[in-house]
Order: sequence, then structure tokens, then C-alpha cells
Amino acid sequence: MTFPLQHPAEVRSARLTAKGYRMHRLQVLGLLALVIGVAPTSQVLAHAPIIACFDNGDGTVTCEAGYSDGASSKGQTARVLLNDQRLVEEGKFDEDGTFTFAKPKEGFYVEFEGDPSHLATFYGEDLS
Amino acid sequence: MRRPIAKLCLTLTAMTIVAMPLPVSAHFQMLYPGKSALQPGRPLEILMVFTHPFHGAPTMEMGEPEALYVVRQRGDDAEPERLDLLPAIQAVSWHGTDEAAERAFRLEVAAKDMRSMGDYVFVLEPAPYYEATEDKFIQQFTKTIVNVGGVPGNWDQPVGLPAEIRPLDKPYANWAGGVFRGVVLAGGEPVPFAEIEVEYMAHEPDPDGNGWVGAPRLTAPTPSLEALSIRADASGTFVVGLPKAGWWGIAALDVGPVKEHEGKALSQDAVIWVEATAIE
Repeated sequence: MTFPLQHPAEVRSARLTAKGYRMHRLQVLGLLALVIGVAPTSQVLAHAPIIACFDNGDGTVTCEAGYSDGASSKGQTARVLLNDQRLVEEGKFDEDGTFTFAKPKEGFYVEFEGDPSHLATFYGEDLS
Repeated sequence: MRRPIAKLCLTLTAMTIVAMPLPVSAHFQMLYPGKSALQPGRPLEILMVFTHPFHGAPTMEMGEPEALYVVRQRGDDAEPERLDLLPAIQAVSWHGTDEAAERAFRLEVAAKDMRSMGDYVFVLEPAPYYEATEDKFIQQFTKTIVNVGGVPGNWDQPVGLPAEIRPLDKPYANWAGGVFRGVVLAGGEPVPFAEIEVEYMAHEPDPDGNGWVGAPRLTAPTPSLEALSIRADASGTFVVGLPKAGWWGIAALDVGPVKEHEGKALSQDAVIWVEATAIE
């Protein structure tokens, strides 16, 4: 079986001209730059820090932290701040990804500072 | 002369009964927590009803379950923790959409047991149920996976049931219109070409009323769409669509290793429940 020959005009239009080739190459380079630029953002979205805290009912609060892909928060920073941004306590999440602290009498929030560019916050008024 | 006429009448009656359009839906062991993705954690009420979820009836009477437990885990590195729930179950009388009531069970899981982030794999090992119309026993090992807070854990890990569906997608994180994949296992090994039924829970369970409420959310134009019947592939893997928000039951039939119970045939099935969420 043979295929019909293409009309020369069709062949020409199908080929890239020298100028077209440069355009094509620029487009490819642009696309690569876009991919490289976007990749870190996508990674951040795919691996999000999460924190949740509970009132233990004994004057203490326990916070748990982790990542949306199941990665551990072990050894990463926990920070308790009052609503006026005064630091109350700073520590690390333990082996189980938990951090327990004395419940402040004033309004407060807790930060989970994980990998670079990963920060999640839990507000004291959302305690259950 | 009378006898042939009587025989003919009996035959015609039997043919009429056989030809009646009976609902074509499958047996499904429910293990229903209301919602599968919680934010934040909260107390949970779990319903265990052996029913036909597309029609909400008939309900089959459940015997005392052999086991009921949850295996929970937060994060990839944590050790899974198993909590026995059987002592806390309560028998209830569940009313099907046909108004008939049969024994089912419910369970209240306390807030302290559901507050931590992570996956909670609820597992029910029911007693074999004798299905008289088929003269056999059915035992459906059932899993429902609940997540708290968005941190995953052991959702994709088998729990070692004789018949089990291992999820390849989180059963609690699916948009309606997506697909759900899983692998049918028997004794931990994939089951090639396993027979699978898929059924939508078309009625809303009412835990307070011990029955169903409201009109069905889905009706089927043909019986073959009430309980979808598919096969796993050669590796035991299957893919099902989730075209509508709500709960979908998936059952792999007669895949467990034990084939006899009290002198009758036994079908050990693997059931998993998947929740699809509407895109608003």
C-alpha cells in the first residue's frame, strides 16, 4: 500500500522555516523556563503543612502537625504566640508529631514552621 | 383430568412468580460513618446494616459480629494502632424502605478516639448470614476509611482480612465524576478477574430513626444499572467510576478462602465503601 504524495505546498507549509524554527525554539525555551519556575510552587501545593490542636481540659493544649502527603513533622518548629504577636513558647514537635504546652490565658495562636516556605497556623479560638 | 389441570395451574403460577420483575440489587454490608473526611475530628456514629443499598430493602438480620475494630495511623512513619470496638456496639432494629425491620448494629465512637489527625480504617467482620434463596452463607468483610484533618496514614494498607479490597485511591477523597481504583485480595494475594458488584446508596440513612429518610437520590432505568457488575483485571485491579456524589459500595464476591459453613456453601466477600463529593 502506498500513500498519495503530498502537494509541494503542503510539504512546505509543514516544514518550519528558519524564522519559524527560531520561534519554535524560543517557545520551547519559554516553556522550559515556565516549567522550572512553576515546579517549586506545584511541590508546595502537593505537600502542604497541616496543624490541629486540642484542649486537654487540664490547662494544657496539644497540637499535632504533619503534611498532606503523610510526611512527619518530627523535630520541626512549634511556636505559641499571643494574638498581639508576643512569643510565649517555642519548641519542637516530638516523635509522634505532637507538641504540648500550657494554655495561655489570653488569645493565642500556634505556628507550625516546617520545611522552608511551609507555615501553618492554628488559632486558639478554634480549640475543641 | 383434574390432576393435569392442577399441574398446569401450579406451573403457570410458578412461571408468573419467576417472571415478576424483582429488584436486582446486591447484598451489601454497610459500615456507615456519615462522613468520611472530618475537619476537625468529632464523635462518630457508625451504622452497620446488612441491606441492599440501592433500594434500601430488604434488610437482612445481622448476627453478632465476629470482630469490629479500627486501625488508625497518622503519617507515613507512625505505627498503626488498633482499637477494639466490638464491646461498644448496640443492637438496633433497622427499618428498610419496605417497612420491615431487622436487627442491625450501631456504634458511637467517642471524641477522644477521633480527635487525632490521620486515617481511621474501620473494619467489620460480620457473622456469616444464611441466604435461604441461594441456600448459602454470605460473610462480607467490610472496610470504611475515615480521615481526620487531611494528614493521611494507612488508607492504602491491607489489614490482613481473608477477603479484602486494597484501595489505590483514598476512599475519602474523591470528586464525583472521578474514578476509584482498588485491588481485590484473598489472604493478601491479588485475585485475578474477581467478580465485583458496585452499588450506590440511593437513600439517606437516618441514625436517629433507625431507617432511611427521603426520596431516593437515584433511580435506574434498567435493572443492570442498579447493581453494576464488573470484573477485576488479571492482576486483581479494578477501576470504577463515581458519577454521583454520595456513598458507593464495592463488593468482590466469593473471593475468601473458606468456602463452607455449617455444611453449606459460604461466600466470603470483600466490601469497601467510597464517598464521592460533589463539585459545587
